[in-house]
Amino acid sequence: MLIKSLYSAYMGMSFIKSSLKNCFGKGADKFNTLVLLFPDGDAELLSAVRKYLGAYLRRQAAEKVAVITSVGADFLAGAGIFGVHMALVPCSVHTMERVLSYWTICGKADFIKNVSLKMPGGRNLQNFQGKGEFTAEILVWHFIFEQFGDIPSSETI
Amino acid sequence: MKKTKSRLLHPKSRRKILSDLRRLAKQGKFKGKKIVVFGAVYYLDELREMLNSLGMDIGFIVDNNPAKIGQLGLGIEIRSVSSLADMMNKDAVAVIIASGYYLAMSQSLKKIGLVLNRDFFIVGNDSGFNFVGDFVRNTSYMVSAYAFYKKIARQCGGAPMRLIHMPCLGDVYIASMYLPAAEGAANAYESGCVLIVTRNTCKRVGELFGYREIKVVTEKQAAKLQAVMSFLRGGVNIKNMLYHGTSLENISQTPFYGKERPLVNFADYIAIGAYNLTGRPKPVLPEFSNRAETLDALFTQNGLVKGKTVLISPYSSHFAASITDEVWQDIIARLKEKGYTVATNCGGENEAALPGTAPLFIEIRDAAAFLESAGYFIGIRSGFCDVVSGAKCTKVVIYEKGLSVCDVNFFGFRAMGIADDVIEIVSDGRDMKAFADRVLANF
Repeated sequence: MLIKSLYSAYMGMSFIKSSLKNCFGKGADKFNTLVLLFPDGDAELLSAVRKYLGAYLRRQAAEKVAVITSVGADFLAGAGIFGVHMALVPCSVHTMERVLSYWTICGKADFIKNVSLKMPGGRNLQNFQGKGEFTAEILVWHFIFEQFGDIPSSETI
Repeated sequence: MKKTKSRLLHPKSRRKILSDLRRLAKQGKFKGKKIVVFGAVYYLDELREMLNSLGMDIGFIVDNNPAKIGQLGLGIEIRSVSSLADMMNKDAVAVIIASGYYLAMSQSLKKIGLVLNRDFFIVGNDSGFNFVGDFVRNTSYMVSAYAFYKKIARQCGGAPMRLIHMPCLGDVYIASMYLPAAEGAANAYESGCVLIVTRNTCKRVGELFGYREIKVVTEKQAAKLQAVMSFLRGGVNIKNMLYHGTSLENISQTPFYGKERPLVNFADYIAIGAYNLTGRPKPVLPEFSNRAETLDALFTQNGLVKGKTVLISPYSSHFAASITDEVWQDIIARLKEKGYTVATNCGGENEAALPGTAPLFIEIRDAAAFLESAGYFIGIRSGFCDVVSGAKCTKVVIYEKGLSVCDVNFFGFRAMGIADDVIEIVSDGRDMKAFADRVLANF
């Protein structure tokens, strides 16, 4: 099991490496680039992402953003993302599994953000969904984007 | 006061941060400059230790979180990032970013005209991608981690393993209270789980709950088990009982600190986050021993009076407390004036008794029974407070504002619904006379 997972992680690493090279050439580094992974097609999640991704990227101040997605990119339509060099990298579910293996073996590399309600180790942010006042928007803003303070109002997004 | 501190940073991160700081100091980057740390980070104490070891200290902290501005972290003022712009011409500062949020942080500083590697420095992270190097290093670690997991699994003979990676008594206490509900068992013993903890004191808390077996591993070994859990994603016979901390698989709880009414609290993180329970079930409380002879000896040997003794617990491994010796001395003197005998809960050799109090080394299993005989407790919020939260006596628990790790709305007993008879007092670290008055109003 370990060998298989290591091989998977290696392939995931190669995929991210070549994606960054293809998208941004040599101009990308950890201090100006963000890699967003979209492995989770949960409709509420993606709706919240569409609403808050622009605000999040402005706060993160990444100059280059690679969106690696196995769930398409329709949810990005109308997301209000400006001033960022964004590259879309569609991939299969199988490839995404490999990318996630790399993400976990790296201990959640800081420049990679996994935009998912499903965490490795079987933990699910979905555990919180619907509990009390928890909504997908709260989960996205506070837990996935890890932002402080109140969720931005529609006027400030 | 001497006190022991738990390490919150991952050893690898600590080494990298220290080596970066050392290199920058050698290059003279900090010479004549006031050191400013970006972010009231949970490992602030460790960061300060590292800076101290290089002959530097933190001048102040800047933070993007409005809830923290104006408060104190380890007695250090927390200012807004924009305050740096106002003082740039007057004082030379070196801002240190030692956080995974370096992208957003560095952009905040660039916006006000600070320059990377001149005015601010990112430590613990390198700018360049090193995919292959990182992969080889992480693979080597994972192979070693997996071997350790297999070894522990063999020792446990196939029993389900449950890890508490944080070296905190309170984590063990609260996670153990909800374990039976998570496992569908009447109690921890019936669950058949082997508990794995990282401190002997944590083991003693686990013993209160009656686990069949408890293993103590080092924090490094616990990190290996976490890495395996995260990497093999559920394909192992071990689960983490926590949903926070330095774990690879867990998520931040800091968005909820400082909020008057957080959506979740610490108990939710465990019950809902880690165990996937619907809300918080009825906790299964531990069974405390009542060793009358041992307790009687503690009172007689230390000249303490039953029903009129205050046990002060001024130490906390994780929740940094800035209550000074002078404040404690004021409280102790006034308690004595009121006719109380006073003792200090000393967890080990590094935790000295407060002046004028009897040093007590109380075993975890005796703590609640001791307090029920003593009558009174004052403690800085710590795991020990969790352990004695069920004791029937007057319990005053002190929280502080300004630090990420001691939020009454997140860790409070009322907020968590664990004990409704605890008197919870929050200190802002400023008017300590008024603080002492509030504590003493309960005696």
